[in-house]
Amino acid sequence: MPGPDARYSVRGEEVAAKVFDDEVVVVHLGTCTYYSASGSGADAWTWIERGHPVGEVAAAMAERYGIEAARAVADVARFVDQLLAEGLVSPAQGEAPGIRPPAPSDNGREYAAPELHAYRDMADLLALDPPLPELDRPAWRTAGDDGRE
Amino acid sequence: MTGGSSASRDSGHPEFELLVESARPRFVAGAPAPIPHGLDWSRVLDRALDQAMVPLLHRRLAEAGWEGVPGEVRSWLGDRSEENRRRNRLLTIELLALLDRLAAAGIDAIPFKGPVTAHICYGDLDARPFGDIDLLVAPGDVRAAIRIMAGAGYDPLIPLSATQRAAFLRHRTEYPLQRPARGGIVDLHWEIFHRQFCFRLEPDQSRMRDLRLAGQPVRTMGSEDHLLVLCAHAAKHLWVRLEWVAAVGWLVDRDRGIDWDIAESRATALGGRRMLELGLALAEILLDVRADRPPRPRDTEVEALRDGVLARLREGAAPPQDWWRFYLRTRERRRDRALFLARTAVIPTIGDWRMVDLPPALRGLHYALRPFRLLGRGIRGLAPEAEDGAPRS
Repeated sequence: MPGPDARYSVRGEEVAAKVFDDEVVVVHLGTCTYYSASGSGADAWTWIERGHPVGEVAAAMAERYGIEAARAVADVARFVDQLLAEGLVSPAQGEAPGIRPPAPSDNGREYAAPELHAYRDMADLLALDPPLPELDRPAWRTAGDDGRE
Repeated sequence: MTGGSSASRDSGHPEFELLVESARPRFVAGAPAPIPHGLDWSRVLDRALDQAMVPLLHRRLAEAGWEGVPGEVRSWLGDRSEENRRRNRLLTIELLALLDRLAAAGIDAIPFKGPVTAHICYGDLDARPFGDIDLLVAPGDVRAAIRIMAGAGYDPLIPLSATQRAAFLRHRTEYPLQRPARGGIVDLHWEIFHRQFCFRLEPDQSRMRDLRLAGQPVRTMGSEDHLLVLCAHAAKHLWVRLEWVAAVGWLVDRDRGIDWDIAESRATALGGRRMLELGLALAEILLDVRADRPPRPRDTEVEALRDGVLARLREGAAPPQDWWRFYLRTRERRRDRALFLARTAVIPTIGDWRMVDLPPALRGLHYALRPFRLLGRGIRGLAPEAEDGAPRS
């Protein structure tokens, strides 16, 4: 479990991440795996990506979502473990950023523990066309013809 | 720019009408029309897939509250839209990462089609399906770009020997690459479009526009050029997808900044005026979208092409084998038609190179072999192979 001073950086050569609306999408380019995190997960990713120590991230989560500090620490640590296991981040070198992660006022969102959803079927999605649902006749579509450009 | 009656209504193809309704940038009556009863939903979904309309159909049915839509249809559309969303975001991230890499090496790459079209036309990355990334670089940067992409893990999609690759780069205008993990295909272009099609669009640097994809600034061609690319690309592929009409319609409807004098004069200079007019005519008749410009004289050839496309879209008919006749008719200049036929007959394709891997000194023989290979394939041999774009767009 990562300690409060542990910091991480995104494995830039293999991993790319962007924010779409309130969803952070992380792609491992080497494996073509797609990861998604929203809500507290998007917040946690953003702060971790900026190089903030785990303890600061947990404190910011506790403040933003009004949850107990111990719960935030445990949830963030679990999230970081997930990121490490998927090879998306590695321990960071150098100095931590000198500012605390932002903790804006009440965002109206209910707290749920940060979670990373992995989709490992992207190569298939890029190549294949799913069958149509069974309606009044059986699915008849074949792969690779879904009108994508 | 919208309103009036549509020639697509009451066509006796209610499934197609629903797709047309889904393609419109505005509701005809100002609010979503009720979903018709008695639809053949298998046909709706089949057509939606064929015509790249799944995301827009999903949006349309959601706006109408899913009333009368079978649960399995709703569920299937939801799943496909979610998959489309993930695929588009993955490809957008891949595009942005590539742009960063190329820019770091001093290569100015212009993204077009794919996420750029989704953003420019619909303002929504998820509104259209795309399965690859298109980048335009200067011809002098192609080899360096390929090296950089190889460093990022991209391999040629079509294995070629060193000899074949050298010839490919000299004679073709795009090079497809892909990661071994089967990420998105990247079509690296150094011209738009293929020489065979005699339509070489060089982006108007004075009309370039900046947009933001996932918060990252991206520079791409202006709306006038984008419109020409949409129309030329669709003409090359016989306008077989309703979504291509939708993209034109949404762009014309949303972008009030289109300079029609520039769009028309550039189209005319490229010999692509008829292709532009056909795209606008389809958007008008199907989607009730009219370009904000003075009325133009009737063009019976454009009307005939438009009606042919409309009939095929309505019927869901397969594109004709003699697609090249259609393409010829979309070109107004005799010299472009003649060049198209001549180049189709002599420019070697990947298939030609693969058939015989000639050493550098004998590469010219590919030109001599090409007509014989075409004859061997019959008139269908005129059809472009995969790298020419028609089957895999």
